[in-house]
Amino acid sequence: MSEQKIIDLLKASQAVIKNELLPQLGSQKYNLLMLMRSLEILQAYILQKDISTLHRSGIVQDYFSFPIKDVDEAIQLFISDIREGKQSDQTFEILKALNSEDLKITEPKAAQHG
Amino acid sequence: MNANHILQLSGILQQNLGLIPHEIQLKKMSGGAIQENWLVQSEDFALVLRKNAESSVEASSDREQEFLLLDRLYHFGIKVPEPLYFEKSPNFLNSDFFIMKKIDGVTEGHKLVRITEEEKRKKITKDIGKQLALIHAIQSDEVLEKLLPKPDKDQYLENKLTGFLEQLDHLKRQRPILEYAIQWMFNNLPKVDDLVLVHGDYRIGNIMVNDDQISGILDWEFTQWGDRREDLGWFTSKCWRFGQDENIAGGIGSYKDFAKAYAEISDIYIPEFEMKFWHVLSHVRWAIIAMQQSDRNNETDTPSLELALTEFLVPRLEKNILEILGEKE
Repeated sequence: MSEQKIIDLLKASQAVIKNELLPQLGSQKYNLLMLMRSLEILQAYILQKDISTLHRSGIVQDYFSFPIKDVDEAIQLFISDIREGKQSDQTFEILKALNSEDLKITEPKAAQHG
Repeated sequence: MNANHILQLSGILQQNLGLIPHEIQLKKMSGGAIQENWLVQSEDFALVLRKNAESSVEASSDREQEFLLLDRLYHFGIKVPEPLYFEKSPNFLNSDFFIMKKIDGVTEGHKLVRITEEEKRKKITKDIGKQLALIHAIQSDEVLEKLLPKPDKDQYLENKLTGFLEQLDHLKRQRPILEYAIQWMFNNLPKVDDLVLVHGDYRIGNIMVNDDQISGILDWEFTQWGDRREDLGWFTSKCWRFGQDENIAGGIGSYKDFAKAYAEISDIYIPEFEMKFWHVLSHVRWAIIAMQQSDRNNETDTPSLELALTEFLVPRLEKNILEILGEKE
């Protein structure tokens, strides 16, 4: 099963909620909005997960002077440095870049529109 | 709640509160990731029953403590619902619960921040500042300190930050921005002059407004002794403005109106620039609570979409933190 078909399924589900259920089920509006948001996050995650891992790896690589193998381990080391007060001039920019990657998944529409 | 619950509750209302529970109706009220509130209503009375939800987060106190605290606050003249009855678990609800009088008004933050009349919003903002100052003016006494032990003033903030680190370790998340923010706070600790009774969750969604006046202040489960700026910071943090970012005070009014009204009662005016530390603290705290709530979702019998989604608020809170820390002094 291709990833695109899964995305098509998600999009169609979102359309049913938005166009069919929301106008009729006013009392369930909050639940439906939460469902919409969940599908939006899921869709963004599927579309972004591979590229996001690559980007995160690249972002954290800029911080270390040695090649990193595992991005999660590298971020843990980065955190340890922060806790120990070992911050470089780059730290703040790295944090901003990592946050931007997270927001592409949790707020995909905002990320698209800058 | 089922028919058996209603029957048992009717017995309590009759025997303990002297009410005649004729055709009572029960309705679950909005909110409730941590507690559940049920409206208990008949032609003659309107009450609220408050019990634990299946997903109470670690930082919240239990219902007995909340009931005793409400009782004390009511005695001090703070605008809280009058507490009437408490019952400990095990019982028919399988939870500690208490019953209080219902207060009329609106608590939905997203509605309050969209009140179009500017004068009305201004009046509410001032009342919110005034009520907060009245809470902070409560004098410590034996009953309160037994309920809420006072921390060491000199260690209070450092302990709070250390607690954040412990909570992050416990949550097993990698959140470098939160780590960075906590270290920034360690390096920028403000001087704490005195400890007052802080509400701990003073935000527009916990304040009940009837027309243009505050009719009740709700949800005291995070109340503790702390720095007054913790409440001011929480109320004015970007994360509690319901998208109305230009209205620093809870999305409803200006910081100046809020702080001036606070100062009229307390004689203490806290300028906006002092809020930087407390806004960072508010965001870190909310991010940790959001992750704890998300984890609770795995512990309940029925998964909660609301709880599961709270995790996904964290990057937005972290973005706010970076914006605050990136601001020029």
